[in-house]
Amino acid sequence: MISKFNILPNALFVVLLAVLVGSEQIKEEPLLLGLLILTEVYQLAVSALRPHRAQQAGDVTAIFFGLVLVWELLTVQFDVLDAFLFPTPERVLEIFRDDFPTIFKGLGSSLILLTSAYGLALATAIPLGLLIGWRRRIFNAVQPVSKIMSAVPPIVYIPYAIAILPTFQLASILVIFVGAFWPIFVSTLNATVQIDKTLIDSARMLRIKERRLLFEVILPSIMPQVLTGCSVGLIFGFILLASAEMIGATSGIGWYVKYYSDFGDYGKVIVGILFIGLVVTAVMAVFDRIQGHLLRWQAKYAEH
Amino acid sequence: MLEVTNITKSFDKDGARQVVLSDLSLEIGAREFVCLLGPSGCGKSTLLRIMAGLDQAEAGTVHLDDRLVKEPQPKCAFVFQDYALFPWKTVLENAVYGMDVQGMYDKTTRVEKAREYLKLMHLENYENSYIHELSGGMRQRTAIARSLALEPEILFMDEPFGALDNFTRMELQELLLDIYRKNKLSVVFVTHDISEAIYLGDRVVVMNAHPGTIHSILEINRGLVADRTSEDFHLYEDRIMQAFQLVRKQEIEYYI
Repeated sequence: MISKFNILPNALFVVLLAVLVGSEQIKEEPLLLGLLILTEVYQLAVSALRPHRAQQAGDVTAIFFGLVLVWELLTVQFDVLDAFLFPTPERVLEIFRDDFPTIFKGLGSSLILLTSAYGLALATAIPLGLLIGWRRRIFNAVQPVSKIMSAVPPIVYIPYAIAILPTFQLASILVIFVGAFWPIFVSTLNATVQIDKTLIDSARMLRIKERRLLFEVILPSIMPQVLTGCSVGLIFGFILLASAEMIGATSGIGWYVKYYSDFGDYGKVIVGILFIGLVVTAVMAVFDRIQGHLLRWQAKYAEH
Repeated sequence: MLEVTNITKSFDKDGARQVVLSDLSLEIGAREFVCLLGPSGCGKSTLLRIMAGLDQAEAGTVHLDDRLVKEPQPKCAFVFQDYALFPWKTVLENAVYGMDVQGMYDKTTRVEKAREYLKLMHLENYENSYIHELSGGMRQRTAIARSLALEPEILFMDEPFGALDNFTRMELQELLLDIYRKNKLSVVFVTHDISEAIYLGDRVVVMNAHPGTIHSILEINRGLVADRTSEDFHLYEDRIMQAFQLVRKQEIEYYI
């Protein structure tokens, strides 16, 4: 039984406990202690219930504990870092708890921008990529233009988009759309051009209509490449969302970070950054699930 | 029923014009099993693709029951060497899809028909498998079932067993002959395997390369070749071997 448990994360946990119990702050705000205990319990539960994942759970927990320990030692115990620039772990958790309603509301407005722009990008980039990739003549005409357009970092459109569009929401949607559009469009286009010709012949023998050929044969066949483009597009979307919000928004997760940086409230800045990390991770996890479902016909995604 | 008249076809290869088929004519009758046999580069696959309407000839015509063939025709199916199945569909969905595109039957009947042909190909236990889970032989059986489900009058087959091992190949040859006997269809079968051509075909069209022309057409008496090890089978093989010897001699003369 002992061999199932990892020594390192448990040892780190004990060390952290010892360090924290000696600190004054912990008695007033037991948030950090609670978080660490939760993590440790989770790690132990995974080790006991799912032995094949015990090693990974232990290693990840060890890294997390290690980071918290270094942070705690540098800010609280030895006080080598400037308290103004580097708030303690306890302080960050407090802010997270107190500001959560504000941050969560901001997330709502951010996600509305992101989903409308990303949805628009999906709905235009995929059909256009298919059609242009399939029609050789349009492809030859469009390719040089699309190469130049897609090479422009979309972030440079932000000030101009804000200037020409009546509201900040519309400007952000446009910029996020542009950022997400190109990776999806280019990957769909290239995959369509390089499609397996035998597959097309096999569909042509059925005297298939062009529309069905594009959406029922070519699209599913190139779905792996399209999804890679979609995932890059989504990440670009997040980058542009945060950038746009930092430039012109009055709410949202990017705005939160920028707003409190201006006040020098770095505790809130760190909370904002951590929150963005969590949100992007959660959204990408959902994306991976969808990808796994759409590609369940591939050996590597086959359900076990 | 299928009439190929004076077909010529060439490709550009490294800037040089290479004639693949030269003034070639051939007729395929209803319910006939014709094998196109020849070395690689003799244009047999190109000829098959032109007959099926997948490629166009530069000169000459193909007629199917007096209709000019310029694109794939109804009631024709094509089996490719590398299967060309849709990997995102299950075996059953692959078999159903062609009927769906062609608007054959209603949904329930399509599934019934697909199941019927999958059973014929001994795939009834794999209908929910994805293509990556199947062996090469099973993939080709799926492709054949999908083609048969369209109830074609002509089945074009482009070296369909070329990528399979010997045992699987012989098993599929038996299956194919069985189906051919039970169904009202013609088969045009491209191969470079001499004994396969003799075993399967009513006629074997022996082709020359560079440029592709018909060397000779061999009528096979089916009664004589049922046993692959029989004397008569070997006689047919000898005759085709001689044909290829001739091809080689001609080439040598040509170079001198």
